[in-house]
Amino acid sequence: MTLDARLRSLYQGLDTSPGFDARVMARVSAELDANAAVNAARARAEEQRRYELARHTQSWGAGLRRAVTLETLGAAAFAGCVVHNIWMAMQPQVSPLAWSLGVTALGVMLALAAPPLLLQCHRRMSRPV
Amino acid sequence: MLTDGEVIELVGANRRDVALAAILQAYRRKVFGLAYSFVRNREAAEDVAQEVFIRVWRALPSFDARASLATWIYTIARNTSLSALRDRRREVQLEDPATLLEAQPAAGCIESGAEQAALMRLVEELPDRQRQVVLLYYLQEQSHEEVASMLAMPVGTVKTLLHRARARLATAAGVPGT
Repeated sequence: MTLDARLRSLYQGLDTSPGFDARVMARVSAELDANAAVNAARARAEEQRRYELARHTQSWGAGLRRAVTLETLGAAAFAGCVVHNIWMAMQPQVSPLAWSLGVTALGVMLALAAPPLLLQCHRRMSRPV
Repeated sequence: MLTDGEVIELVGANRRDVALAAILQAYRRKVFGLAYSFVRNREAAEDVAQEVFIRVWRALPSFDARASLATWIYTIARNTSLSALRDRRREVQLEDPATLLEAQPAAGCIESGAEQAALMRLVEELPDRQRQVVLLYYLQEQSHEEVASMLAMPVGTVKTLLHRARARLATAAGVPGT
């Protein structure tokens, strides 16, 4: 028997044990399941993070903090000065009756406008994202 | 056997499992042989081969056919085998050739177990690269080109190593070369 033939017969049966393919496919399947579980957990965490972020940005405090900037403070101070000056100029001309009527009208308007505004704000804060 | 393009199409169609099943059928024995040529232990080689196919499955979406599928798989197999070899180096146990022979079917085997074990020992005593070339060449009647691809060697080097190994084995075993 030649060396070639002997070497060929030596290695002809060298192979994996039975069921090798099935074991590989089972590992693949297990990995797919594990990946699906990890992806689901990651998606849940991401959704929770977005929810918390949205809640934070929708809160009154956060809204107020976002609104209070140097520009808005400056504009408010400027508007206050303008109103004050106009009022000081007009005050002698406005009769006491008109003054009391104006204050009453303003109070009624505020009383009518406040409840719907407050209700809307409450709904926005309590609504799930 | 799937072509490289068909494998890419299957992966694109989200049918990686079908692609892997075809790859397993075509490359199982070659990858196992390549792993065995490195780690020289049947169980370890099977673990490595399993790991290779899992890595292939994971990396299939990134296979772009710049290299052939075979070259790509053999590269993964070599890297995985070398990595396993490094892990095992401290406690490496070379398999007793008789153990390997017991695991093989005896069909078509004319020689006695003792003669085969003796020849296996002679192969084991060859320098690493010669031993690897001999194993892979005779594993599946492979061509020099395929062995060169598996081991990332020039074809000429494979032929030289095989020639030297045969000469050495023929002398040691006292049998005709071819």
